[in-house]
Amino acid sequence: MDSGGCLNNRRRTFCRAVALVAAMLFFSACARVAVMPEPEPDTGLPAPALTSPGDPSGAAPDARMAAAHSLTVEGYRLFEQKDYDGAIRTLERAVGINPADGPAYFYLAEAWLQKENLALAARFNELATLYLRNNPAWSQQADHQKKRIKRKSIETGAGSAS
Amino acid sequence: MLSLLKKLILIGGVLLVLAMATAAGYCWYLSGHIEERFSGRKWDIPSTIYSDTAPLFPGKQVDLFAFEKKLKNLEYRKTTGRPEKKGEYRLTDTGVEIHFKDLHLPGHIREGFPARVEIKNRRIRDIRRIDTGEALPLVELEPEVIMQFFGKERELRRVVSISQVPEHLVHAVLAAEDHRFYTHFGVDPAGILRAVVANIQHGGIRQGGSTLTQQLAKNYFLTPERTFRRKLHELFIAVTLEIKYSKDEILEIYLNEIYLGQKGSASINGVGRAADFYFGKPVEDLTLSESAVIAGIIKGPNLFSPYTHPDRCRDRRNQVLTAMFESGWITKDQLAEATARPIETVGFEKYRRRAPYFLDYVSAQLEAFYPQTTLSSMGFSIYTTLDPEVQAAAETALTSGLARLEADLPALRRNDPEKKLQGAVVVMQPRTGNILAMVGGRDYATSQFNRITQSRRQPGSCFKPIVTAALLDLFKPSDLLANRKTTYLINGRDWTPENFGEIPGEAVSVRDMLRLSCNRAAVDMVVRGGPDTLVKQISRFNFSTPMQPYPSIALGAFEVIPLELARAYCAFAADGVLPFPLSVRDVIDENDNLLVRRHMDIQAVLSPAKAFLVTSMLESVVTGGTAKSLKERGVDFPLAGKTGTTNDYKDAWFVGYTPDFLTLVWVGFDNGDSVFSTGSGAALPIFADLVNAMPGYVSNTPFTIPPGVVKRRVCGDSGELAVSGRCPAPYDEYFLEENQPVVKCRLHAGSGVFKRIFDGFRGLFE
Repeated sequence: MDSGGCLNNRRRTFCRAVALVAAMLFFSACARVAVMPEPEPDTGLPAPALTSPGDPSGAAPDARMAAAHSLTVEGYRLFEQKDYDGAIRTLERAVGINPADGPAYFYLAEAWLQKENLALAARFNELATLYLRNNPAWSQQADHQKKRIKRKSIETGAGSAS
Repeated sequence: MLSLLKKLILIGGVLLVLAMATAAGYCWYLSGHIEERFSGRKWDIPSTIYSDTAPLFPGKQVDLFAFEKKLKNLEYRKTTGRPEKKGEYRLTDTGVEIHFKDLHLPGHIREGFPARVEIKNRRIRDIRRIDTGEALPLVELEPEVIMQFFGKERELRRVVSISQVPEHLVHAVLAAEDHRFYTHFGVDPAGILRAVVANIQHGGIRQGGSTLTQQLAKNYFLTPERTFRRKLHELFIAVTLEIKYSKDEILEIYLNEIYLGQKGSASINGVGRAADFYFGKPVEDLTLSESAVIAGIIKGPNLFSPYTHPDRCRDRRNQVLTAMFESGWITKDQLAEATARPIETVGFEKYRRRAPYFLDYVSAQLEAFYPQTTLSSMGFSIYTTLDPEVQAAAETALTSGLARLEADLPALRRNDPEKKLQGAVVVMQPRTGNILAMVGGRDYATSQFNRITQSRRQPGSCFKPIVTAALLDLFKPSDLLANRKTTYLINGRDWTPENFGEIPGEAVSVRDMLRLSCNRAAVDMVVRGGPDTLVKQISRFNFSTPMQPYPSIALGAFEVIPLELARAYCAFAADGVLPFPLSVRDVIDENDNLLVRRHMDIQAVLSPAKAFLVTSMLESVVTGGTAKSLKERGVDFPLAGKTGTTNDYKDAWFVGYTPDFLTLVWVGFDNGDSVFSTGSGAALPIFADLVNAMPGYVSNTPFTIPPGVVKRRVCGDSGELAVSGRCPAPYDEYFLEENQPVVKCRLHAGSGVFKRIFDGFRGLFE
């Protein structure tokens, strides 16, 4: 009795489901045609022109980026010469012209790391990570930089950098 | 008789010895004074405040008229031929050829070079060096002098060493003023005799017999009165100077001290400054002809100025050149060549108070480091973030905007200048926090109160984006907020917020609350979100003014400092990063030692995704909301913005931004009188005028979508995920990935074709 009732219930449920699907098909034929939106792709920014840190030959796709890029290259050169303040000043000019200049933020973070201002280094690293996310090589560098900043903040006991 | 003569000789001898002893004693006494003056700083050199450099790069929008004005402000000379020398330019069919000057910045020196700047359709097309043909991605124009920190003397001087002064300038000065300088002992009896004879011959004073040393004694140590006592004093000082110092040392001090002209209310002193003032070059680069001009000016700086009396100046120059030839310092050919040369001056702009409110703001910061006396004497160079073109555009836009309002609304007119309608503007670079322009009021001469940094005003609806940003964890852009008339009990009193205009519907989305600036919905959001939570979140924006957890916070009831409001908006424009507002960048001393350096400082207050959502909603304000008139005013590039109006129209605001610049405009009366206009009517037109006049900052760069943002199609009636084909007004909306709608529209989920037919019929009978 129990098993028979159960079977009936299942059959009833199955019939209802079939009827529902049929009804849905029927009504959907009457409904207005609508295209379901595609999930929004992550358009982001064009990948930075620099293909590797400090590559002075990287041709930027747009003039504003190219102008900022020339300052980033100069900032990198100053950084290499250990003129960290000069590098920071030049890189600040780069992001003033192109606020989406990922490599400039990367080197800003690097220069502040050298000057042991880990909080600022971490903040610029976040921006570098944001703007370099579409370039795997750069993204990896930014990730590595983040770890170095974290490690240094643990070493120095400046736990504020995150 | 003989004994009397002997006595007289003896007395005379004694008197002579006594006189000599007295003179020697007096010289000794004077030498102490002279040494004291010369051992420390010889002159007070005013500190100079500079603007920022101006970057030029291909693709940048430029207005050729404004660009040429910029070159003139930087004292570039227009030429008809190719610009051969630094500081020259000429306009061509395709743009401008410029011989850039040297650029000296703290830690950065660039040699000047010739370049061709091609401009097409108001945009720089190409920048190329003329000498090497190299294409340049970026060139920076030198910073402009904005202000000098004068002491009471108001002297402009650039101290140079004798080794920097070219020989022909030394000879020109000596030929003009004292050709026996290297042979006399400070006083030239032959020169005095010659002057006396000449003056007797002409029946008046035509020639002075003063040596350079005497002139120095007079100018540096004495007052200009003409008395015998002063003249005697001058002689003693001159002799003492000659005893204590070498001829070259005396000449160096003289060349730096001498008065050589007038620039407005400031005097030009010394050959270093004169070389720059008249010829726009360092003293080392002066030509023979130019040196003779400067030497000739000494006799009468205003009488022989090449600016005011070019003919007299040329004659005087030729006299000096002839005297140089007669002394054997130049050849006949040099004389002929130099006298044939035209006198080409660089031109100058008289000092006027530029960006006075910004400079007050800068001065207040500097005075935390240095007292005023130091700033007016130590010759510091202070580099700031100011963009003079943007500053000028802001001043013009504000002045004309307020005048227009007064013309349109007679009720705004006031006779008392101190009670007139006021306004304020600040322009910032949202990413770096650089203040590009600041206008703290309508007329600095009338009121020095800086309404950008010192005033506290209710922000009105301009505060709604801050509120929205703070509550984005709880609300989604498509969530519906109540637009019904609702009375709240606040501290035992009833309060019924009203909308400024008619906003239809019982509910509006969060996006529409901002787009249409719906007060009732904003208050509903705060009440549902929790005022306490909100105030806690808002504290991250670092407003220094207190905020209370009342629902009226949604309508900007708590006063803010406009600069702090602008900074808070920077976070929306810059991926959630709040910058520290920067005005002073570097301070260096006379020897290029860096004294102060301020860097960009940032603090993340929002996630990039939240900042983008607010920006996206504020773009709606511009494209179809309370700021849609911007398009009619020529502002048609991607822009986000918000209007603001306070109760009784006491304040009218507009804040607008792109990724590259942010501008805040406030209009109101200091005493809180009504401006009878909204933010859209009073502040927005000023914003439009300003941004139309700063093409260099318009990059047309759209706001980009950061990670953590998703787009979903939602139902306009419910704010929930749209059910395809059923929701009547679906639209695409951005959401935080972690706070997106997950429920399908419950209003229309069951609305099949029969229900819609039924609804349609019902509608016919309603």
